[in-house]
Amino acid sequence: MRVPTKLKSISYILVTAIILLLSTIFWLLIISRSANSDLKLADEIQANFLERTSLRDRYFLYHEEFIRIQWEKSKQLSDSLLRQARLQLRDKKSLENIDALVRNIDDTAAIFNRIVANSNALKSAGGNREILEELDKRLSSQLLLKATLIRDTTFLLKNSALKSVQQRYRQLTVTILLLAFSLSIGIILWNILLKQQVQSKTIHLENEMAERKLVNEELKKMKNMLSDGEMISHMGTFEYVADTRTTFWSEGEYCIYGLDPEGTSPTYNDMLAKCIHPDDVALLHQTFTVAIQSGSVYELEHRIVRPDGSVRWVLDRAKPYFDQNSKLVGYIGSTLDITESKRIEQELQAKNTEMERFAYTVSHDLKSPLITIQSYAGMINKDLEKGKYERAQDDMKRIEGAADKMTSLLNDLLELSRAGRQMGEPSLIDMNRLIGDVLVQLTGVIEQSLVEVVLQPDLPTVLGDQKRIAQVVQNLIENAIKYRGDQAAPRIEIGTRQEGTECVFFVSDNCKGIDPRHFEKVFGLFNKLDAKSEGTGVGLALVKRIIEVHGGRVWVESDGEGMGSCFCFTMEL
Amino acid sequence: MRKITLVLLLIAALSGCNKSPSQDAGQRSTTPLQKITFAYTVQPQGTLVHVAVAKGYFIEEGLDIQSSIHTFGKAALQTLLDQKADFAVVAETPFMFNVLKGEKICVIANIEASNMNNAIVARKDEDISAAGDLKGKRIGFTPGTTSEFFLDSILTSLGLTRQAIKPVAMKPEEMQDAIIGKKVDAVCTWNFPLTQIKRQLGVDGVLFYDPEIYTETFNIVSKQDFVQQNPETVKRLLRAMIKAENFVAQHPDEAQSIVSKTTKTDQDIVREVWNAFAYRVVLDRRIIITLEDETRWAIKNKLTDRTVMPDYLTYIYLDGLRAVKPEAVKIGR
Repeated sequence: MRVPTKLKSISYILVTAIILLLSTIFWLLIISRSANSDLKLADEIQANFLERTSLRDRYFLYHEEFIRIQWEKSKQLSDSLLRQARLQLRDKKSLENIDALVRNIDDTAAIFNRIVANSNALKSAGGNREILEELDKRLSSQLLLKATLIRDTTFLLKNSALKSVQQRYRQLTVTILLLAFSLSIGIILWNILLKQQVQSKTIHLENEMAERKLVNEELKKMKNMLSDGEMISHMGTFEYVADTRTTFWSEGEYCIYGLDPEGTSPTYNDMLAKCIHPDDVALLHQTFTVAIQSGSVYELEHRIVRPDGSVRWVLDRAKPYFDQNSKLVGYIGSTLDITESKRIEQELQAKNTEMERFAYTVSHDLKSPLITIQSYAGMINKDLEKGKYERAQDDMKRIEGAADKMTSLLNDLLELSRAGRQMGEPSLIDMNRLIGDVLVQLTGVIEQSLVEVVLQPDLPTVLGDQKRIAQVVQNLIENAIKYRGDQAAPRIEIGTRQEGTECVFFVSDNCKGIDPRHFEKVFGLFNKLDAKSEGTGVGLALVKRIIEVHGGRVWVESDGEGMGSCFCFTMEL
Repeated sequence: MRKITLVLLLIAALSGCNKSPSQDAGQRSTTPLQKITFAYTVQPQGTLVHVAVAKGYFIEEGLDIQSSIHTFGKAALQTLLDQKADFAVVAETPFMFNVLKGEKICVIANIEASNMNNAIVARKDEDISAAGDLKGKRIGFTPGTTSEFFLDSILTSLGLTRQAIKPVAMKPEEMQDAIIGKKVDAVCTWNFPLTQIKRQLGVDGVLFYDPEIYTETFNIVSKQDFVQQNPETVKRLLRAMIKAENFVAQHPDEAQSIVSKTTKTDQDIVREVWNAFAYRVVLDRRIIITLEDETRWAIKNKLTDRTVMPDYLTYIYLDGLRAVKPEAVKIGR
């Protein structure tokens, strides 16, 4: 039997026992009261008997009439008490005693009256005196005998009543003891069973807690896995509840939006107002509303704005779920941070544009010497037909010049191509030493152009292809010298500056400067701001290619023409 | 669970402390029976003895009763005095006369009392229709018994003396023939002969009672030295008598049948006289009062040589009954 069932059974038995015992006690109290009343009555009957005995003895002593009258009255009281006793007493033995008392008292009364009559007769007795005296003795003897019976019976009655009282009190005591015993046994059993129950529950609870702890740990682990997974895949999950227009976000979702995961998930309206890029709010709302109305899958690429102001691209995908009545309850979906893929996409697009422009530029710039060659080849034929050999030699020289230019263009293109594809093993580069070596190589040009070059000391060490980085620095210095214009005291400064966490290298000059409109153009292939200048226009394009291959950025700063320019790039330190 | 088992074992141990009464009875039944001779009568006064014998109460108490049955108590007492019985049942009058003779006998219990057992049955055809008509008539009686004492008492209540009648001494068993044969006009006797004679006389018979002048007692008596030497036997005998007393109180019809069968008396007669008797095993003052009253009568009428009242308390053995039923002893020393 299980412990709770045992407890229930014991409770039922105990309660039943207590009810029975309490009822018994109540009943015993009632009958004890009745027994006390019986005892009181028996006492009165005995007292009455003693009173009548006293009156009888006084009468025999004094023979006074008033005593006899009192005896008669006492007899009436005796009859009354016995009548009451007959109604009040219930047990057979007591009733038998009452009957005996009634009988004997009546007999006594009769004998007493005969004695009284005989006494009166004796007063006037003559020759029969002796007989009357003998009769008096006989009657008195019987009276005493009956009185003895009455006395014994009254004692018996009283003893019986007393025993009844004592018996009731004994029963009461035994019942109370039984009640106490039952209570004690009940409490002991209760205590034992409750202890067992508590122990069983404690073990069960401990097991449950251990299981719950394991489950919690598993859940925590899975949550962490999910969270890590979301972080790794730049993904978040969310739920939208249609009725309340509230949302529930995962930790990953908070991360995508740059919000504190400890905060509360924003409502749909708050999200629109605070998290979605203003240009995409209308599109998102319209798309989502249509999805809700049609109960279809919601999918949209849009931008979000983080609290720090940064803009990210995300892809939302959510699936609706319904209740048993096919009523839409909400959406469960995921948000994927696609900023990086967007950037790559944009870069690819830029590359494609650049490739198209490159193809166009290459075909256009290579086409120009070819046309020259074609034209002068035709003119050579005509000159040779006409015998103009000197002129033909001039034309030949022009063709050679055009071919040289094509060769130069193709070499630069080859170099540019290599810069994008071929990289040496990256190594730590001491930039002061590298730039110093470049300046040594360019000593002739620098001195010839009267340019002052200033190199900051203590430049940082960077990681990269030493040969290519040297090419970047050399191109930038040559570019500054080439476009020094008519600056009387040209000056080139090479150094670094700190921007946030980034270390920016720069090569600045005080020469011609660049119109900000051409900041991008200067890094284009074959682009030269001054068409008359030397070179193929590949130098800065090559710089840009090398820096980007190294994971850095390159740009130009200038306050405009004549204000000098500053070419900047970043490198991995 | 072990604690619950311990509690239950404790309860079982406590409940096992009470020894069953049947175990005691079983042990007693293994002891050998003690042979005793009991002289008793075929009178209704001996009902408790008849019942105790018939119900086997003596055997239950370890007594093997040898019955010595007589027609009246005086004869039974004589058997005791003749050393032929250990116990006898007898009314107080023969006991009183023998005490006055100096016999060392004692009452161990009163087993019956009645003020309606003694009466005079008379023939109407001898001009006896009222008690006063007994004057000058022949009245049979048994000397030395309650019959003699009751006769004198009723005569006194009628304002007569024995000299006013013609007393005829006879044994109880002679009375029926005597009155039927008109050898006497009336007889003073007890039951069952009293009722049997009345029935036989039919309308010619008349009974004269006076319940206010005499109360007969019937008692178990023994020799004083016997009870002193055999107190345990007395207790066993008394226990058997108390069992009979309880049986008679609870099963009067069956008791009447037993008495009818053992006394060879018509059951109608037994039933008719039944309520005249109170069958109680007691020792109370009545026996002393009656003995003293009868002793005064005997001395006055010169029925004894003694002139001094004996101390009857010394002729009553209280210890036996006090040991087996103390509440039945109402005499203090």
